Amino acid sequence: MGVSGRGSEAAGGPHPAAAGRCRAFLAQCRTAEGAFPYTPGAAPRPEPTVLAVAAGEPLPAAWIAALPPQWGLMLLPAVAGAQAPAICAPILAWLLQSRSLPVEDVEGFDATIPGWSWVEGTAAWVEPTAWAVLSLCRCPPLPGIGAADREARAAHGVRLLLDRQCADGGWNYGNPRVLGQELVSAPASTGWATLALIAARQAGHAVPPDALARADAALDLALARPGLSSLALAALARRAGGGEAAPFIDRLLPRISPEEGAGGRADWTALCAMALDGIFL
Amino acid sequence: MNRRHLLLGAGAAALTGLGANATSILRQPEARVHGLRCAAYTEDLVGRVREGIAAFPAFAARVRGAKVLLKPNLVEVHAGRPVNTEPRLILAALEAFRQLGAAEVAIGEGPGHSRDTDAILWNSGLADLLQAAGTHRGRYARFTDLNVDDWAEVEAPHDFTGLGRLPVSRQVLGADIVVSMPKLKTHHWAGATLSLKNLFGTVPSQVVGWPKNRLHWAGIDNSIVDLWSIIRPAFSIVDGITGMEGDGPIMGTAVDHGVLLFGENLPAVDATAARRMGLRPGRIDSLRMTMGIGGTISALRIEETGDALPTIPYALLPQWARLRA
Repeated sequence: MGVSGRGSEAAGGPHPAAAGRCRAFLAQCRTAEGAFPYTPGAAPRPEPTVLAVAAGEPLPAAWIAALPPQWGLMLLPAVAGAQAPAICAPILAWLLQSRSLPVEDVEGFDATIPGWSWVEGTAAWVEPTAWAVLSLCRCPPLPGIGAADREARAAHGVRLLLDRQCADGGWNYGNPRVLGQELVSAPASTGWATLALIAARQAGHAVPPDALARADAALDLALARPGLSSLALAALARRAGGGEAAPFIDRLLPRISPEEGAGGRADWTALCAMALDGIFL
Repeated sequence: MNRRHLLLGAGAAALTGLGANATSILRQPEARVHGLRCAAYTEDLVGRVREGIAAFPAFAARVRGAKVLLKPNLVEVHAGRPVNTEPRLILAALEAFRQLGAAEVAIGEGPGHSRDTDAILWNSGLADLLQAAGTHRGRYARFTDLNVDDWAEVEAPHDFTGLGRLPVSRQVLGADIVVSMPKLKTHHWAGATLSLKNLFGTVPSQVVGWPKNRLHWAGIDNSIVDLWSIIRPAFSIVDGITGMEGDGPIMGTAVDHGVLLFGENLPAVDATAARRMGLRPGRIDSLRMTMGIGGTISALRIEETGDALPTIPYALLPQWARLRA
């Protein structure tokens, strides 16, 4: 993924009218700083801003540069590493040193693999780990950030994601099972983890084809339990794997409006805009 | 003479021999919990909720002109598993508070794990119900995802977590009346999840991480009691029409219990609900911790009104067998 990578795809995306409705809503949401809140009128936040940038909105450089590294910025090096290296370098450096804490007394998975947590000083979870892997694998080389360090930490993330893959092929939020009970996967976590593993494979990391095939099949769970961000992420991941995203897009289209975007949320709307535009994430 | 009077009569002599326990019991304010039998979600739920609220006249009088926030327990949707507060009951409560003259009735929840709140709303049926009731307006006009709401850091009066201040959603802090609407469930980390545990959803996950991870690391029970001390919800409506036993709060199995519980003292409501689940409330750490800071869990201090509610021993995971009454 990356702003540099979307280019003409966005202009000639397969669903320009619906994508335009998403962008109309995002324009309503943008704050004076150029950043984005989760919902119109609220305070701007890192996550919806980074997703909006990934969807092609301008990067609010000054606003982002003033923020301390945090989970909402984890994806930024993957999104804007090429266009804003000075802003992304400290975030990438933070991703290299940030480590989740191990958890004791777990069963059925390796809780010692150092992944990434939502907040410092807590355990690893699938989504932050997937974002870190995406940034470590997708961001172009940045001054002061060693390639070997990036590869090593990305390898940790890949190990963790493979370790946490559920029996149904997708990902729950953190664990594949708890207290002896197999957990069922969650569509949004599955979408992010699949995108991360595809990026890791493309960056040269060893990702078993079977794991990716099972993950790809599990994306269809988003059709059984549809939600706006789940459908958009399933579309992005299916397309990244070379598959056909139409089943997910067809479910999204009726729910996009210029007044409300996708569910009245800037973060979901940005994901839908990417899915509708055919952006490769 | 009601059930409390009987209990007080029977317990008076016992109290004299209890020493420290008697002191502990007497430190708990007297509380009342109203129970109603309700066999199915197809019954007149608005009428049942109104009846439950009417059992607390002082509270009912506060509703007129107030901004009411309903805080249900919405987690994720799994076919055949009663994970969430039933949407029909949520809608009934919304309608009941409107009929009682509330200036505004909103619904807010910050689900623990799932970030796709849209999926929960639609797959649970709540979005359809709100839309049909004319309250949805295409953008959950009456629903706030508290996980991404603006927030304020609020000092915890007793600071059991050691965090000092906890972030709480502005929607919650701005309400005149917060109504906790939990599902009657067992919980594999906390023993049971009721009105107090339900307050986890008032904390924006964008601050503490999913699934409220910082709170888990600070101690679930500590966090539960701190949140109750901060928010002090005015009322609780417990959905026990269908409960969950075993590996709750998600992977457990349904219990057709047929009860609704109402009350102003949330620990008292939860203690009573726990007894109806066949649990000993004093062995649920968070409930025990509320004693002395305004919570009531002793049966000797709780007046139970309304219908006689059945007690069904809920199946427990082995590690929670100690909760069994």
